This record gives sequence, C-alpha cells and structure tokens, in this order.
Amino acid sequence: MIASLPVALTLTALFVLTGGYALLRWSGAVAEAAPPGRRTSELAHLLMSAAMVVMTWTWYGTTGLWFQILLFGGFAVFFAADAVRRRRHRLHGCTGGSAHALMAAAMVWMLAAMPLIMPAPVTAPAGGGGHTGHVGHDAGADHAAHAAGQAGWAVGVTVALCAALLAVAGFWAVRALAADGHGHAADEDFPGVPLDPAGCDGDTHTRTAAGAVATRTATGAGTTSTAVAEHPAPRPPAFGPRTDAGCHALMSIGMVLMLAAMVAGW
Amino acid sequence: MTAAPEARPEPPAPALPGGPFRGLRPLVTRIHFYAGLIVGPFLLVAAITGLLYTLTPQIERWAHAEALYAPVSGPELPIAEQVAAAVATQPGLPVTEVRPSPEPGVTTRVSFDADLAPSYNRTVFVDPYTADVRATLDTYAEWLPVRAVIDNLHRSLLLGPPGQVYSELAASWLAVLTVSGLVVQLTRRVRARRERVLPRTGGSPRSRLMSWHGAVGIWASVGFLFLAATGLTWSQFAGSNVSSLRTALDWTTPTVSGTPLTGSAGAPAVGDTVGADTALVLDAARADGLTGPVEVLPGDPGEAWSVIGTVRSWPTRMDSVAVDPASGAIVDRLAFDDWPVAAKLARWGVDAHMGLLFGVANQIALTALAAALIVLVVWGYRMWWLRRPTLPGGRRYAGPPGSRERPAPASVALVAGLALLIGLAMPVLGISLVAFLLLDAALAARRASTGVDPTPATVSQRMTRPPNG
Repeated sequence: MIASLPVALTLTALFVLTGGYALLRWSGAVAEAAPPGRRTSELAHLLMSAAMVVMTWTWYGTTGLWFQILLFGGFAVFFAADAVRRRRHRLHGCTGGSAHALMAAAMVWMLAAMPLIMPAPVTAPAGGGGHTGHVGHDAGADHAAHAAGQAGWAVGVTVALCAALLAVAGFWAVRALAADGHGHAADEDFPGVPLDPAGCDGDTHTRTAAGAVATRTATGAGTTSTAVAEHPAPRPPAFGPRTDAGCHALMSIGMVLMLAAMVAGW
Repeated sequence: MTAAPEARPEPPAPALPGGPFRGLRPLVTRIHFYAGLIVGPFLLVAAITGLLYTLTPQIERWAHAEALYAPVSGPELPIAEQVAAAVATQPGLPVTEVRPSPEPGVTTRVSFDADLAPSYNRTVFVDPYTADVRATLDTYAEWLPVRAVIDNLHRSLLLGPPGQVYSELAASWLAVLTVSGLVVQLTRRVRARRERVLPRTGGSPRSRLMSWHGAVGIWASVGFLFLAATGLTWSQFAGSNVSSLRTALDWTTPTVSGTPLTGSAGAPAVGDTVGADTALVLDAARADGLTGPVEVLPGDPGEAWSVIGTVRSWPTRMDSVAVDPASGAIVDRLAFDDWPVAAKLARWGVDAHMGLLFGVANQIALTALAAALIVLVVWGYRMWWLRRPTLPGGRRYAGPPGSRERPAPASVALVAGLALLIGLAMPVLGISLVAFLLLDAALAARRASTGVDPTPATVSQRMTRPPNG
C-alpha cells in the first residue's frame, strides 16, 4: 500500500493504462483465437497491471498473497521457458521473453519481500464480515504476516532488481522508438508461436492483422495468399510491436516506482 | 435475407457482421455453459444443504425439545434465581448472554464463555418455573447444535475456513449464472413472447427441457440474485470487501454494546452476583419500554450491559438499551427504527436468507428456490447430455451452443472488463476464472504441440468441432 497520494495516483494511472491496453490486446487475441501462448502472455500483462493497481491501495491477505506468488511465479517460469526455447531454436524474441520473465519474477519478489523491504509494519484487513445473530466468520485469519522493519539484504536485492528493471525499460523504450510497424514480428514477444523458423515468416500475415488471419481460418488452409490478397492495402493496425514495447516499458517503470515507494516508505 | 447454401460447409468460427459487439450473446451463452458445467456440483451441494437448512426450525424443535421446552408448573421464578441456578453448574465461567424465557413453556438460556471454538458458547437451559437445569449444550452463538451442524455444512461442508471457499465459489458464480442465464433467455428467438417465461409443452425432449430450464430460471432469478448477494456477505473474501464497503459508507450495524460507563465500574459477569445484576438490568430495560423477547449481554468491566430485542421475524423488534449494572440507570438507547436504511436492509436480507424474517412463508420460498436450483443444475447437465454427438468415432461430449460464432474483440473486452471488476470484488470468482483461462490455454497448447489438434484452439472450439471435422 502506498501512503503518498501523488505516487499512488501516478501508479494507478500508469497501470490502468497498461491494464487497459492489455485488456484490448487479450480480447483481440481471444477473438481471433490466437495461439495459447500469446493469450497467456496478454493475460499475464492484464493480471499484473490489475494486481499492481490493487497493491497500490490495499494489502493482500495471506491467501491472496500466496495465490499471486504462485500465479506470477508460474508466469515467470512460463516466460523463462519460452525464452530458453527460443534461444535453443535461434528464434526472435529470446530477449523479450527474458525481460518478461524478469518482470514476472520482480512481481513475485515484490509480493514475497514486502515485509522485508518496507520500513513500517503493515497488516492486511481481517477477512469477512459478520452479522448479528448469525456467526458467519470464524475465518478471520486471512491476515498477511507482515513483519516490521527492513532487512538490509532484501533492500539490496530490491535495488539491484530496480536497476535491472530500468535496463529492461530502456530495452523496451528503444524497441518502441526504433521498431517500425513492420520491422519486427508482432508475435515474437508472445510465447507459444510455432518453433518452426518458417513461423517467423508468417509474422506478416499475423500483423496484417486479425482480418487476414480470420479470413485464413475461415476459408481453410491453402487459401492464405488469396485471403491476404483480398486486402491489398491493409490499414496499419492500431496496436503492434511499437505499442507493445511501449506498454512493457511503462510496466517496467511502474514496477521500479512501486519498489522504490515501498523501500522509501512513500 | 438470403439463405446460406446447404452444401457449403459451415466455417468453424465465422466473424459475422453485427456491430462492434457482435458475438456477444454467443459469448454469454458460452460463459453460462462453462460456468454451469464446472460450478454445477458446488451449486448442487449448496442447494441441497440450503434446503436442509430451511427445515432447521422444525428439526431443532424436535431434536432439542428437552432443552427448549419446560412444562408450565406455576409462576415463573425471578430471573436472578434462574441465572444463579445456571451459574452454579458452571463455576468460574463468565456469563456471556442471558435469554429470559420469551413465552410460557419455554426455557431460559444462560450462556457461558467456556473457552470453546470461536463463536461457540456453553449454554445452560433452565426451567423458569423450578430453576432446574434441563440441559447443557455447546451452542453456536444463539443456535442449538443441530442447526450449528447444518449451518456449518451449508457454509463450509464442516471443513472449517478452507471449506468456506466452496460456498463462496457457489454464491459468486450463482450470480454470474443468473445474469448470463437471463441474457440468454431474454434474447433468444422465440415464436411467442410467453415462451420466455413459460415452458413449452411441445417439441423435442431437449427443446422442452431447455424451455423448462429457461422458464424456471427466469422465475427464480430474483431469488437467486438475492441469495447470492446476501450469501456473499458471510463469505470469507468477498465478505471482507463487503465489510470494508459498509464501513466506508457508514452502513455498519449500530449497537449499544460496549458503551463505556462514567463514574461506575460496572459489574463482573462472574460469580454469585450475576443473577442479581441481570435482574436489575432487565428490570431497568423493561421499565424503559423494552418489551418482548430480549437478550442480556454483560459488558466488560467499565462498560454498560446491553439489553437487545431478539425478534428477527417481521416486524423486526431489535431495539436496545445500555444499562449501568450498578445503578440500573439507562445510559444509551437505540431503536431499530433509527438504524441506517442500509443496516436495516442488511438485517432483513440476512434474516430472509436464513428463513427467519417471514416464518413459514419464508421457509417455503427458500425451499422453492433451493428446489429450483437443484432441478436447474440437473436439467442443465441433462441438456448437455442430450446434445452429445452420437456418431461413432466422434467426440463423446458436446460443447456450448453458439461456440462457432467468433466474438468481436469489443465483445470479449466488454465481458472481460466486467469480469475483471467483479473478480476484484469477488476474489474467489476471479481466481477460479483465471485458473480456468490458464487451464484452457494449457490444454490448447498441449493439444497443439502433440499434433492432436493442429490448430491451437480453445476448449470451446475443440468441444464443438463436429466429429467428422
């Protein structure tokens, strides 16, 4: 929970923005039946943004904390495994996958190390409400076990993590500024795309966008060229590698800000 | 309108025109299908245990008749004497509550803090005419053991706090199923409007079943939403959010309990004087106009004792006063009429959910809702079974209706945005939804990687693919 209202509002605005973007991207992926890896990746962005907004304003109870640690730990493993897979097959997206894994791991660290990096003791609200005459809650033990005081080593790890996240933010920022609408595969940062290097060539089809893919799916295999030809001058999609990279850069910066606010006790 | 050529194969997921929210209804239908399929067993258990709970007043009266009733054998003895008789059986234990006999032939209850499990008390049932102890039971707040067991069964399957997740899951998804079911039923094509609210008598068995499912669902929908909303207020995680909201909006239930005393140390709730103190406090409350069944709650040292009306049936009589047990002076009053509207609504909602507000009529309504939920779940599974593909070598189960129509991104975004907000308010729903999405993606990835299904697809798409497709 962030005590400083300006910082809290800044973080909220930032993660609402990235969450809204991820929501649109995930919706598009679901609507066009994109590969499961891509859907999972977009879902990870959405959930991470939502979790950061909630974390800005309130504490999680023990159950919520552990669920998120498991969830984002799973995402970290997912992204890391995908990065390794891409590296092994010499595919694009290895660096992006690694950056994703780092961000998910940072999220896990943020949740797990909260009691060790914050200067003031914190407590989650008690779980459940009750009603006179009907005992509904013996389960008010959903408190997060937040200890008091900072641990030097944990703060050190956090600072190192912030530095790494800043580097990641720089990486994404460069990609956001350098990539043109067609220079990189839209899918290369989305795990789960086929490993066949030929799949990289198919990026153009994907990026011509949902319409082309939908047509290809609808008309069946073997008619791809025909389908694309139906759209000789497709309008550049609103979202693509550039906006994706920008979103990732913003998320990285937001995580740095959140970690810094926690350590500083803002 | 041009009819589609019969010979043309149906595309697996056509993107039909129809505005930015095209495919919204099929999407809602799919949500209704999957939620019903997965949460159905939980709803079934909640409905069956809820049905049992509606009968608890009768079961309680039968099972605990010895404790609850005493033959009228003369005038009632003073309350002090009755309490003293109970205290004598539980030496050293502090009194937590006294419920004087509310009507002739009913026992007086004196509860003690016996260091039992949270919310449990040891309650001594005293014959008000002879001061004999008729029974000693460990009660769950004001509820007798049989209701406590059924209550815990309905709420947590007797598993304690971890078990509460089941009822929270059921209550959360009941609301989603009800709303999505309403959308499906009210927007489906019918030959006559009455078919939306009344079941059909003709047609195939499956269409009749679907008609009954929809019609019963429509009639029960308000009740389901009510049960889900009130049930969630007791839940472990969503209940916490509800409590926070009520506190933030100043909707909490007001109370006179814990009123501090000035110039008085109060009175201890332990020892021989408790009976006399109870009598003094009760007399003061009666003199102040508090009538009908009440409970006397001793306060901590330095606090007033409170006397609270216990009539939770309509019209609710829960006026309360705070009394100095040393002097009998009234130090605070709170009439039920003065409660905030939201607190009153919460009180009435909870009492209606428990079948207390309108007596037998309330019990009958709850029984009907529980029965409706049971048949809706069973009919839902039956409909799914009847839709299964029957061609040899094909899939053995059917997918959701409407899954071939691909929703527009705006439709998905609308539903996903709502799900996100609702998921934050109802965490168990949110977590279960995330778990389903991840499972769906994992299964799709596994099938794609093993070559079983060359096209990565969702569960819904796989399940609806024709056997020969």
